[in-house]
Amino acid sequence: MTRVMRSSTRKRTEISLASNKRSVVKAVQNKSKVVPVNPDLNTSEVAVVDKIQDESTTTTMTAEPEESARSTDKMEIKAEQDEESAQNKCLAISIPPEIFIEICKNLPPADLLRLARTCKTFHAWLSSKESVTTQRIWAASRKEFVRYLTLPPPRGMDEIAYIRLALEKGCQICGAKLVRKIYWAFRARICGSCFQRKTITNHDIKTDARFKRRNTRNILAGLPFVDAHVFRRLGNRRYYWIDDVLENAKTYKSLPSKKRQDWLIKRQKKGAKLMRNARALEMAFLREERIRSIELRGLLLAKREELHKRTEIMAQTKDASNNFYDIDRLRRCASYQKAYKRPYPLTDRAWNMLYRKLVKEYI
Amino acid sequence: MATGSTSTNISELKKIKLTSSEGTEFVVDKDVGEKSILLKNMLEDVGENDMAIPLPNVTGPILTKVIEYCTHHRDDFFISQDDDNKKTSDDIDEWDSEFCKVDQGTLFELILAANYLDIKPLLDLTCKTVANMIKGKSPEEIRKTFNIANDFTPEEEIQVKRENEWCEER
Repeated sequence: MTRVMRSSTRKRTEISLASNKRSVVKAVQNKSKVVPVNPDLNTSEVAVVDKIQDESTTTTMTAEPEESARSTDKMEIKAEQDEESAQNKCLAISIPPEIFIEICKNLPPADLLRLARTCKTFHAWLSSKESVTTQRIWAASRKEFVRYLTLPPPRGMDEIAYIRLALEKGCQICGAKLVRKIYWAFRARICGSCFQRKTITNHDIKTDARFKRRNTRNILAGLPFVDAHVFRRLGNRRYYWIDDVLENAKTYKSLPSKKRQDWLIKRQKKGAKLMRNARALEMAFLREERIRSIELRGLLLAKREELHKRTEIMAQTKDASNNFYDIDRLRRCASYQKAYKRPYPLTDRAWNMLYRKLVKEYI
Repeated sequence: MATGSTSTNISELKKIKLTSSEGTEFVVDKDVGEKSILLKNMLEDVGENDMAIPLPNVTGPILTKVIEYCTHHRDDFFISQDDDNKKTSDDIDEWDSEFCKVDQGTLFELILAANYLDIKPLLDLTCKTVANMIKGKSPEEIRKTFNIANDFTPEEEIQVKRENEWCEER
């Protein structure tokens, strides 16, 4: 074992020498552009070159402005450094795509999006909706960092749009903040008012001027919908995406009456598939929410226990007027009540802050 | 050397020779070398042989680092494609993170070498290290870290920003 180690350290010195030699050759090459690459450069030559280089570096260190020869030297070296930094620039960009994929496996979606904003190369690699590799990068990120999103994206939706729909917040139409409700049937995350604006119920279609139809069955064939019971309303109302209905109506109208039946059947089959998928995704999200609420519940219970303990200890101490704190009075304080309802863990720091508030409120 | 003679008692201690791109020869224990799937397959194909294996894609200093890694992890059982034991990028052990404290040029060369030599754990480690340098940074900070030139025009940049902004905080 030790022998191996020793031999490897000896090797290492040899290597550092060798690499030194290489870099020197490169440096010389850069400067004069005439010295060919010569791997068999012997050591005496290296020593000479080394010396030259040493001299030139000392020149830069002590360069005086009045000596023109030296300042050109300095410029030359600066040019070299520029060249070097140009090489550095290519470093990240010049990595082969398969390595890029390996790196991206370790990045959550939000970081991938920021990486896509750095330069054209990465943007192209990360934003292509057609590229199988791009889709694979995003799928890998999703599976690693968004564990509940195990279902593949719905048909016709690319990974990026899918992940963003599921993870981001805010209304996709008006940009209203803190909107989290996703209507998987419409593949949209929208606020209540945008929902009202963009959808129509199967009842309202009958009287709507844009459609003017008694029989809505045909134009609604195979369209995804959201059930009214989502909004805790009674009845068998269904909400449809207006643009979808308009397009469907247009297609239906344009078809010769012979082909309409076939089209309807096809549409319905496709629609059923779509709705199955939407329901599966909705279920996955509900499950996730339930898990999260259980976790929160656990956190809350742990915090309440901690609060109890701390106030019991506090009740053994005396207040400003030298009486023992009354535990029930303490627990009726507003800041205690507030802390009691929130699941954030009670750290020492949090307790110290609460303690100060309690002392104030107690009086 | 007393300690050296004890190691020779292990009958399995065969050596293999490797040559780096500059022609420097390295002698490593067979089990260390076989952490590289490329070398392992090569050795299986060639059989017992005293010839040095040329590695024209790997420079001496990088090969030294690779050998250092493989020697440290020589007794580890490398798990391949086992999702249950998959490590996230946060838990890199201390030795490994020390090992990756090298300049960026070396780090990228290590990645290429690990990829070429097919040493999955080293590839994972180095890629995780690079990923950790990207995580949580703004595009401008990423550019700075890796010396990436911003080749978008101002208009393109606004467009790209609008399309790729992560809307969670708003």
